[in-house]
Amino acid sequence: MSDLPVAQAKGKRTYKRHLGNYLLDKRLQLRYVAFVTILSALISGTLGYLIWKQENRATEAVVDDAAMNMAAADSAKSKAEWSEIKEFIRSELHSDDNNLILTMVGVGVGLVFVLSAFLLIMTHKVAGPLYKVAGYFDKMHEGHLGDVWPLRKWDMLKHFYGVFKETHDTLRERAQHDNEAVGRFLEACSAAGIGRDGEVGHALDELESYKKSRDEALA
Amino acid sequence: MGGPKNKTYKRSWKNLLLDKQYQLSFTLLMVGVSAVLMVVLGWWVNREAQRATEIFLNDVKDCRVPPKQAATPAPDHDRSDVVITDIGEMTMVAPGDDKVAPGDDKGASNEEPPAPPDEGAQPAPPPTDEDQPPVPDDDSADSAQASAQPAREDRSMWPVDAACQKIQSHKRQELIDGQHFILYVLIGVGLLLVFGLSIYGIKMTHHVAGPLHKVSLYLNKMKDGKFDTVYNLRKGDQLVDFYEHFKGAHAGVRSMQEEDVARLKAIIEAAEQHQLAQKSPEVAAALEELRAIVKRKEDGLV
Repeated sequence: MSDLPVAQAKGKRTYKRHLGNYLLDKRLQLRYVAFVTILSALISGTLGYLIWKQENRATEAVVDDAAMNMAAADSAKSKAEWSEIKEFIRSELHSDDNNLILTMVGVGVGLVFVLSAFLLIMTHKVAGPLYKVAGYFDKMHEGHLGDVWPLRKWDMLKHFYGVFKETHDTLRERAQHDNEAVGRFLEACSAAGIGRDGEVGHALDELESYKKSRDEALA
Repeated sequence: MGGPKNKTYKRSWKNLLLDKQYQLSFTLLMVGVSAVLMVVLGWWVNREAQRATEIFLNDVKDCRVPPKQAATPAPDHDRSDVVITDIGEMTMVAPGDDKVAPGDDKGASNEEPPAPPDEGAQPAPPPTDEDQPPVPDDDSADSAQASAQPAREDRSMWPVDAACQKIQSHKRQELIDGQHFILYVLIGVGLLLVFGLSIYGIKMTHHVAGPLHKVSLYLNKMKDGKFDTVYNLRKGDQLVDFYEHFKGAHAGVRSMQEEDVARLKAIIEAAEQHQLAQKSPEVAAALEELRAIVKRKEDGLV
């Protein structure tokens, strides 16, 4: 949030969201994303293991039962042949179990992706206003009190932004009022025929240029 | 301007919700989306667990084994009531392996006496482990095969193997228990997720809302024209960079005020020295206005 643009444009301004700008405050945003990613991975892993265990248990039971029933129905085959058949059934069912693992990994990755994307967008709605306010802070640091534009529709921190905008507007109005008072003094001096020569004249010149710089800062 | 100093603030759970709108909306959205995903995932996981259990319950046949053709001709009564209890009779063990499948209901063992071991028997498929249900001996007497053929073809006529039934019942219960366990884990994880994420969400947003609350207090002071000392954030607060921007802004506005005071004081001093107020009432009024501005600004620079 250090290199902030100093926007000077006037009139209604529209901001476009860019994919690259979604990570405005890496430290803030990635903290949430990392937490939820780890949590999702843990949950998916645990559930995946449990369901795989259940499938595996069912597979073993079915294999044992199928082998026993086939053996009971057909006694002509040898032990080796039955072993082969049993292994075939087992490998078929285990292949289904392995597909389930792949599905679970896919679901886990999908969960992590969806939650991360969601959190990235959510945190962007916080980081966006902060980025904007930080830009105005930088301008204030340089002595500029220009116009403050409203937040985007879906941005968060609206209350904080309201406080900031109110303060900024008050400071700006007060500075304008003070500048107008200086202007009135300069006009009164000019109307009273006070010349711009000598010590007083020099002070008035300096005050006038100072007023001009303040007017520019408020533009 | 006084430099930033360290002032210690104590965190209190009462202050966790500093910006209700932001904190609650952020947390509720996060919890809501996670809960929806968890429900979908849970539904799928539960369905898969149920499917696995149902495959066993539907596909696994009852524990009936074909009658021992030669040695044990079918009795007159219904063979489905007969319970074979001697696994040794029905199980083909691997060569050199003396192990017999478990499940020996001795009480009924005299219904079908164990057949003598057949020396020249071709071994049937071996059990995978000790829980392996019995498999029939495949080298029953050839002469008996023809007479026992109807009984062998009609599975419902086969006797029930009690040991096998016991094992199946155990496996069935294991699968049902496993399914229930998965359901409980799902409910537990779901509740933990909702409560955990709620607490985490509020705590995490508090680390953001805290500095913002502090900045808001300073902004309100600035609005009232007060530019006093800005203190550092608490340890563990986020938005450290943002706070630095704020401190820069505060310092910038404060130095503007100081510069204004210096400029206005200089012109007021020059005006007083040269008695400009006496030149016209307008000049006098404007000068008075400048004095009021200087006083206000000086009061704000505590």
